[in-house]
Amino acid sequence: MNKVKRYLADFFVNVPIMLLSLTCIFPVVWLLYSSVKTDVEFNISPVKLPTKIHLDNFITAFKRANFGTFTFNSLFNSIISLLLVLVVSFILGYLLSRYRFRGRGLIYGMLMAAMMIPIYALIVPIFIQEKKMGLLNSRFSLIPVYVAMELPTAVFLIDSYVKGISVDLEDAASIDGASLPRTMFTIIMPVCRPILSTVVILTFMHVWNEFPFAQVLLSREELKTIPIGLTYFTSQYTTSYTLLLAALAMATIPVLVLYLFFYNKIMEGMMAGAVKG
Amino acid sequence: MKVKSIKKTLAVMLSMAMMLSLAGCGDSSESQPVADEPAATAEPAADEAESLDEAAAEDTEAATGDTAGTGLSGSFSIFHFHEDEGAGTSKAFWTAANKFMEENPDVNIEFIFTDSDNYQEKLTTLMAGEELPNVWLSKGDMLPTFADAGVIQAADQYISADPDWADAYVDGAFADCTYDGTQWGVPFQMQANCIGVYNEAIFEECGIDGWPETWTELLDACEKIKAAGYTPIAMGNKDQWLAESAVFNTYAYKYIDQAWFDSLANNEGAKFTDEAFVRALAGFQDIAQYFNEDMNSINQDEMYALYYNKQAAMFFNGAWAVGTMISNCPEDVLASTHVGLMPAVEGEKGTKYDTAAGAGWNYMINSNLEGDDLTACLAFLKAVTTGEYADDALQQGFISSGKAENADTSTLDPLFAEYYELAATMNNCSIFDCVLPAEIGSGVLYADTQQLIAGTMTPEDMAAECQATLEANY
Amino acid sequence: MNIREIRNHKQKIWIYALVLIPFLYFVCVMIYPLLVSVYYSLTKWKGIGDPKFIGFDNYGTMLKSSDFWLVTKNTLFLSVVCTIGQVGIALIIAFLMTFRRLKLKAFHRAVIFFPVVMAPIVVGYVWRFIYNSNYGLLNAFLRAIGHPEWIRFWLDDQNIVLRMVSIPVIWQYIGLYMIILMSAISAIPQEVFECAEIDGATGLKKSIYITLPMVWDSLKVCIILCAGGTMKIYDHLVALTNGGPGRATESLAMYCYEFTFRFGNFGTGSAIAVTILVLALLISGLIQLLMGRRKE
Repeated sequence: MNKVKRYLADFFVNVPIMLLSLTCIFPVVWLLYSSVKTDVEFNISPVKLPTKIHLDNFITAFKRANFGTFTFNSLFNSIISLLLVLVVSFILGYLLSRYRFRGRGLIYGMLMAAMMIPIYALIVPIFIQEKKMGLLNSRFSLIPVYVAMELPTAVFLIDSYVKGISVDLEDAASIDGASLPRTMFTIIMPVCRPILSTVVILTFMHVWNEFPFAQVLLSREELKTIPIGLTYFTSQYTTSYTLLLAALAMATIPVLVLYLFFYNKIMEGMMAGAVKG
Repeated sequence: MKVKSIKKTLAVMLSMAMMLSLAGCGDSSESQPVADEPAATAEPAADEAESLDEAAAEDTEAATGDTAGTGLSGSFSIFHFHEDEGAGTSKAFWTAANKFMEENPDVNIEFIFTDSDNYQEKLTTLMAGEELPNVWLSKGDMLPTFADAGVIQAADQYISADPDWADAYVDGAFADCTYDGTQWGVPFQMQANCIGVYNEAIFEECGIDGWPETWTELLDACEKIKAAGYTPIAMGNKDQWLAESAVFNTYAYKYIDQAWFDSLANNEGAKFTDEAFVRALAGFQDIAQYFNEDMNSINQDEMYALYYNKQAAMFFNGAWAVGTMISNCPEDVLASTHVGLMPAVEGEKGTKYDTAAGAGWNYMINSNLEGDDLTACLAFLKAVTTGEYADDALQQGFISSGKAENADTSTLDPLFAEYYELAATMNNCSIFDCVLPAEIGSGVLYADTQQLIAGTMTPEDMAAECQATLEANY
Repeated sequence: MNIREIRNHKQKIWIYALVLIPFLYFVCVMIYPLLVSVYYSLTKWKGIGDPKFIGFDNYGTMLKSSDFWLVTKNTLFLSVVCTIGQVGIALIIAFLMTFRRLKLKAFHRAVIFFPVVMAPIVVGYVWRFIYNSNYGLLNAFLRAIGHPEWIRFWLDDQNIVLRMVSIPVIWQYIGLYMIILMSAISAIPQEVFECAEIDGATGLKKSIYITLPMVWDSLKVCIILCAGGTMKIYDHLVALTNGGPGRATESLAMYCYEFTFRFGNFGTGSAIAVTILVLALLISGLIQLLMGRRKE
């Protein structure tokens, strides 16, 4: 009887998650096999497997969407924004969480407001602002916007995480005479690794995929980013879906790699430490 | 994560953050008038570029020293949606544009590309930010905004000054860019927004001889096809424009005419609630029973798929569908594919020739363009809309608004040739969503047509709602 | 709880400097344009010339439109359903990750995040052919289990379409909240779990009495992020149904986009955006209240 119960428990724990996981793999599989079809095949049925594998879709897509240049630009924007967001959100998140000072509520409120407003309301005001500052169409058109856009989420995540960390660590350090910045970066930052990795993933993903601002703030080909390249398969009346999907597959790789090899590895270590089994 | 390396770069990052933040604040409040003044020769985008890095990218300016043949010089920017390796008019555009640039090395053109799906968003932003390029594309619905604000100059003053140019367009090419009696833009295409495409083999199988000439015949044919187990008419209206713009619009012209529509658009008496229009809505709701039942959740391409897979016997769509059929349709289906005009409805005044058609988009010229730059720009626009461009577009399977006098029609694809012949007989009428304010044209009309064919809205309600919205936007 | 006193003057200066510099930057880049947008919402502006101040007229017209109420209802529905679905399922999975019984943890952790990085167009395509009436997997499944009478036109039926589109959205973002909650769980000291196990707490009990309270703050942030984020939902609806049939699946953000960029009506567009902002702030305030104020 007890054995049956255990099997049942095993079943209910494992099977639903397994089903979910399988559905999560499906889009990736679909994306990969669809991207090697011909347009005719895809148009006749978007579900069927390809009869012949056309890897040259990837080469055509790479050239047509200008991926060489655009990948560089996307990486440039993503990495710089990421580093800035990481540092700034850690500082803000930590201080907001640990200390009570005047204006703290106001800061929370503003962060929250910026997080809640739809992006389409900000496009024109930000366009005009960047125009006035002469920032349009430059290498640094997007980074300031991206940093500001990603800050609120990152700050809230870090803030809530730091709340869960006991103050004993820092108290011990300050008895030793460590200054505030030193305590912050040498003592707390390492403890915050899991949430910082989460922030890395989320920020990178958002910035890597960001479209609306990249679309309006940049007009010069040599500055555009990957999400804009993905629109290069649409003509006035037709879209070349297989090339688009090939390009999408390539565009998704960096984020997947970052997640699988970076975050998943870290979490493996962390979860193993925190939770046995 | 490598905490140590991050620690090392901290100082650098921190100072960068500060720099950025200070720069951000200082300038935003001061508002330097960099490009507020639309200077005559200004190239807005290039202006911004020079103030920052990589100004050297503007290399063509200096690179071409000698003046070749034509003697044109100048520079201008053009904001377009002609994808480099696209089909149809895009291909013809680039062939013509590249030829022009070769022949006129002293003309420096800055091409700004945005795909057609996102074009409107960027155009609106550029407009609001007073950063409009020298030439851009616009549909008729934005024309009044531009014209009233004085940001565009009329094209007809230049076109009529050059008889050779004025003569190069087909009749009615300028209908979509006419506002207040002035022809503001330069058209580049001439599309029928509705054409019937059908599979003759399925028609024969169901005992139908040929494309129906009247609406009753069409309904009769649909009934037979349905009985044989096929979907009579494929419809893919997920994106909302197809049913309204590419089918209903033309169907409505079987009931109403151009004069009625002009009167409606200009608030001169005609109303959506007029009896004829309501009858058109009711008739359209009736034909919807022959559409595939998932008409509102599949898109244009999935609609084609129904046709490719011989599940559907016919569909109605804009003339661009002809090009798509030629490139994507399986050979056996393509071999028995033919096109026809939408039949007339008995007892109504419209004929089968009445079709919603037109240029749709037109090139607009910024009023700040003048002198050599303007001359060069006009020469360019002439080159990319008429003459060889028109011939080339035809070979690509597209009818342009320029006369294709020297085109060799014998080499056309048979299906396209069939359409080309039909197009010559069409009586072109205005496309609703190209002329009416967007709130109606691509707002209420789209959404309500979707509900009309789904049977969740009555023709009367739809007419009333359209009229109410129109009145709020005159 | 876990708050430090500001000890001395020097520390105070440090704190203010470190907070204010990035915050001022943030105000310039984000808050200033936001206020500009609020100003636009009080004007009549077609994008050309100067905006004309008209007070609250845009809000008046907006509130009188039945479309506005419909899309608001849609958005609120999605916001509630998606928050419960996404954060709820993510929380359960994060708990299960602490269970011994769950096999293949690394695998699940890896793949459940996949949909998060997929472009909306891919998710739209995949789900549209799950729902497709012709070759759709869902209908094929219903036929296979012998219930063809349950077959529906999932995305064409106005009465069920909103529920249908919420499923893909929920499904896609489970991974996102899963990783946030897992980060929070990983911060729980191992000793806590060990002590609990010695006391005989296992499985469910361990989750409810130990894990849940320890990740409460993160959970709250997840719920706020999710509820607020779903208020801005746009891409998925465009990819799945484009708001149709009629406006049955249109969201406030799509409505805002339509006015701003399709109609070039910046005044009303901004008014809708401000409405989204206000609603989202109200919701997050409500969540704060329900889940307990910050302990200060």
